[in-house]
Amino acid sequence: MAIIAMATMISCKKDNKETENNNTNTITPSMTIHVENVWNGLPLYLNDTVQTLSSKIVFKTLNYYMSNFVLEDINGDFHHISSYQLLQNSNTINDLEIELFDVPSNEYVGLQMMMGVDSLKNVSGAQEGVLDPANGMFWNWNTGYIFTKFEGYYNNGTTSGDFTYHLGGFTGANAANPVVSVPFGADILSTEAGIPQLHILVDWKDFFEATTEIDCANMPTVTMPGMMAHNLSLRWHQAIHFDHVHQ
Amino acid sequence: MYINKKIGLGLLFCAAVLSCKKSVTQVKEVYFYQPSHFPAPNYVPPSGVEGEELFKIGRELFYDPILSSDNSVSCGDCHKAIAAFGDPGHRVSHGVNGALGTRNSPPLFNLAWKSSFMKDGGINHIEVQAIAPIENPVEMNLPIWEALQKLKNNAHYRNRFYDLYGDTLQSAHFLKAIATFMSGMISANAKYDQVIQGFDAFTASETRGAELFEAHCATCHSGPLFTNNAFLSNGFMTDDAGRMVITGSQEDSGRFVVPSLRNLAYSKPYFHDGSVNSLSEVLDHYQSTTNLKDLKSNIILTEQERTDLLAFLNTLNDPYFINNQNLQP
Repeated sequence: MAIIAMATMISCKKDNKETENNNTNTITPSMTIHVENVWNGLPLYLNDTVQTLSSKIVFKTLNYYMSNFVLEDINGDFHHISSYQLLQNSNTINDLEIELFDVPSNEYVGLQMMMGVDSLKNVSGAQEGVLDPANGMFWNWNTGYIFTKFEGYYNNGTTSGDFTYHLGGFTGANAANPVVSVPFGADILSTEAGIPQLHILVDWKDFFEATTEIDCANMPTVTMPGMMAHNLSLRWHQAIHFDHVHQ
Repeated sequence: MYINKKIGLGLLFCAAVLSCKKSVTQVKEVYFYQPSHFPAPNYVPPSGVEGEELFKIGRELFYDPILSSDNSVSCGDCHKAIAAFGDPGHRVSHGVNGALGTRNSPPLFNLAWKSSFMKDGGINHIEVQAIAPIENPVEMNLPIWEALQKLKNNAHYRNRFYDLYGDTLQSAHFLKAIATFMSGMISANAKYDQVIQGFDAFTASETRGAELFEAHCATCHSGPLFTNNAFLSNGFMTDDAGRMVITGSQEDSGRFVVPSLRNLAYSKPYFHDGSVNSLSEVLDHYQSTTNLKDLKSNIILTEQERTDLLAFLNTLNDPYFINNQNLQP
């Protein structure tokens, strides 16, 4: 039994290596999603000064996870594409490309995605790639991912200071990883020929102002799971906009 | 990977059964095993060649101050084998720059059977537990991204991980190595374990102590792990909010994970802030505390009963564990 066990372990290791080699040579994406961070429709970079209804705002950090993509096809059926993406805005880069693989050949009318990481991944230990806990998007004291991290500086004319929002928490009513829907309007996205491009905008003015403006002066810091993180995360529904599709 | 685990476990189980039939000795080749009288583990580290290599690298890392910001503090500095991997004689430990912690360094054993980590249970998986002390400014003070860069820039570790995974080093690699070493800290060879498996017998005093334990302690400190892993208060309160920090629930104020009662002889001082220096004081506390939130009642014992209970607790001390060469640098 010991000999068989050893042989199986050795052969399993070899198989993994071969599969990896094959994959890197032959995979091309089925579609590309362009996610552009904007403020009132214009490109948003770190260290830009922008204006809300009440305040001047400067972002020093702007990172978020997107995962669990679901495409709705022309017949109303849903197709789940497993993918985890970490989008990090910088001084010079405000639009990021997501390549989705293994998307079934079909015509699609809308996309849903989770703004965060699903609960299973939050309880599965140390992971790799974009889910590496070393990406600065992981709590060391209360295990789980920081789904949305935005930090910076505000000045409302009366008070000013830093704001620090780390939105996380994956269980129960206060989960901060909402699933957001992005219908394509009159457009159809087809994966039947070529690699279609989907453009979506994340408008941070809409996130900041939403139905009511984030009150940086009275609540400058949210860095743990709970109701405040949950409520802030709901703003994702108002911040994400479909822009256009092209083939 | 799953096939590996099943066969690996089977192989290791065979080794464990064989070792149990001998008199108690160290089985040097086996780094993780399932004691036959333990429940199923919550985490099974990689087995076979990968597991052995991860265990050895993890052991090196455990004793290597490279994981601290100024290369002065390793895990092993506050978790010493002689103290069942607690910090001998220290109420709280000091980390980088002499910074003091707030909670007593807990002894470490039987970690693969735990469902959460840290006194407040904030950590839900053994592979990410090490991140907390490594990053804590009063412990090792090193952000995990920087720890990763240090190991990438260290030829010894970089090469060992490359030999294992043939890939750029990721934090999951070294975190799994540490978790594999931690999983190997198994304490299951105390006199109690010998008695449970039919190889030894309690003295009369230990037998009486076992009965007292069953009546007064075993609800929360249930064997063979000697904890039910629940978050409860034994009535001892400081300004440490404990479990409430994680759940946000007022009811959880002052609650901490029920510690295992194995290896008490090696792991004093006791209680979450390390302020209680002897088991006698522990029993005094249970006798007199007025905070009975999670206790059924005070535990009032005669002198003889105390002696017997302490005799039973002594059967949970495992000298093979603290002398296990596999776990030392």
